[in-house]
Amino acid sequence: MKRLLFFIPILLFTVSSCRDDIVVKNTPENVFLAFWNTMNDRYVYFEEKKINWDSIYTIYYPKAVAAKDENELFSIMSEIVVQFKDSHLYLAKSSTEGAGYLSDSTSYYYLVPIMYYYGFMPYAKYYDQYFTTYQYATKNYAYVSYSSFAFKQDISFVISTLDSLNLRDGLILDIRNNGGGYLDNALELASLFYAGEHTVLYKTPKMSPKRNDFSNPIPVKYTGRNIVPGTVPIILLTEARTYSAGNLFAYIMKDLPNCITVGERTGGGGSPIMSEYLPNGWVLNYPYIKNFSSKGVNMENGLEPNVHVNYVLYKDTIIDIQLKKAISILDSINSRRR
Amino acid sequence: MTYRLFCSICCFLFSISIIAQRNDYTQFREWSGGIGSMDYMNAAAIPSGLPGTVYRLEYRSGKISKRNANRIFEFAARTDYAYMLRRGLSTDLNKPYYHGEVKLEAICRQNIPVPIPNFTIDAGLGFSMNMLAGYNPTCTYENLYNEVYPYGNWFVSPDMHFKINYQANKFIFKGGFNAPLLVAGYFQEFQNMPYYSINNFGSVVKYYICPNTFAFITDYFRFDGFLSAMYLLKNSDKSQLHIKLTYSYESLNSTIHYNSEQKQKQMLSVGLVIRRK
Repeated sequence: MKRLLFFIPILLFTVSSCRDDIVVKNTPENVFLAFWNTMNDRYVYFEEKKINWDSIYTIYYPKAVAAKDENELFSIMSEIVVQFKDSHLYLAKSSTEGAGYLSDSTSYYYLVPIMYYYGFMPYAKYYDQYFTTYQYATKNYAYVSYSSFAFKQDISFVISTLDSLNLRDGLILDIRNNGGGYLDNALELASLFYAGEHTVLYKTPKMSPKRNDFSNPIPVKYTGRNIVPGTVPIILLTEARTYSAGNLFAYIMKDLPNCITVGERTGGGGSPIMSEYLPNGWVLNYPYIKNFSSKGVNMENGLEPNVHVNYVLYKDTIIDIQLKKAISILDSINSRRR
Repeated sequence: MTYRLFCSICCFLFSISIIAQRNDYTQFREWSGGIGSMDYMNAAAIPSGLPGTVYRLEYRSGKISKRNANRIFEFAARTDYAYMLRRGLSTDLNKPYYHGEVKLEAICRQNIPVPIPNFTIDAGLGFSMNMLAGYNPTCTYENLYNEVYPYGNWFVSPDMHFKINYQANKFIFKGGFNAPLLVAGYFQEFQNMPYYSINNFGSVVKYYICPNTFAFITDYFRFDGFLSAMYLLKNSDKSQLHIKLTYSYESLNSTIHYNSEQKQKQMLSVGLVIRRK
């Protein structure tokens, strides 16, 4: 009886400790299955990207199982990733090597002489790598280039710069080269251009592993700081490299009555990224939520500007026809005002 | 049927409280520290699981009821910290995951008599508060990609407790387990979380503080067991000092909001117990 009583907890320990499935072993098969299952349960854009995920399994699973080493496995999985044409889907093998889709958009580059050519002077009060400002020499126009949201943003620095610029008759906001970054940064920057609480987007999180089980749209609200008043005409320059948080920023700005978007369709990227470890230490980055604009447009498909102007790169020249168009729109708005 | 069962249990508990073997101490305090291994997976952050080393600090105190010498009230506070990392991987992305847990517990146990000398059995109910959080150092402002999210949950639960004690001269051997019957609190939703933190701290805090889960043992199954040996170091008229060696085992298997979480923890702890007579 004594032995029997003491045997009870030992028996319970034994029964419940027979588990070795928590830490998945690092084999090519398990790496592929972890990748496939995570995507299957959590990726949100199968429909938009027109990918048949089940057929991917049928085609690539046997190849992955037969992979001789990590390099071969990586090239098999890279083949899958690029088919999505989704820059938020990124399989990282190391901190310097990974597989993902790079858009073949126009390669915009920024040249100081362009600004001089169009009558802008550098506004040197503040300087930041991603935040460049110019003041029009003869008119009350200012130019602000915001080329990334992927850094720790000091919004007070942006506010004091905008306060000191002379932008009474117009502001050209250039996010053509803005490939995105942190959502917080985009929301903070956009809040400088409107007053009061504003529904900036609707989010529809995935509610279960089922492919199309999304929640009803949930409004995401943000309170504006109204640093640039609604009386100032704003021209927002966009192009295909305007992506992710840059794309979200463009959608918020387009809703403002005093903003006109000029340039090319943005690259899309309507979701923040989630990252997960695979059994071999690689990291799978994927979009995990669908965002819709305040008008209900799926942000993944990019934003078509109000005035479409293709970016044409004239080599070794100082012609920027999108900037030129922005200035001419501001001129016409101001001539009508007078 | 349920009413009859309830009455039978009440009668049983009342009768054993009269005839049960009485405790030979009035209160105790216990401090212990331990080390062990842990395997952990969380579908929301580390779906392929990670192995790790876990460290524990624990404090327990108990008091025998003045009205009923076979009833003991216990309070326990436990904190676990785990360092989880897969060894032997070639990629530089392989970073450790830090995992912490805090458990506060109030327990009421009753001695159940058994017709064997030196044997006692305790059964009881407890109420515990649990908090768990995991964090990866990649989650900084410098990494846009490869930033594995933190995770966390908190919950309160009524727990069942069962314990066997056997005394042999200076040794006391114990074995037992506890398990939550149901949980209520906050668990991470499948893919929904606060969207931004700047300018929004209040609502983010509110989101994590507000409970969003009520689940039964079928969705949240945790088994927390132990085997221990206590040795009497010092005996005086007023108190006893024991050294205690404990092997503990914890297993978790839960699926809440479609996020599965599994854990297996095995630990060895050493502690000191002071019992007042």
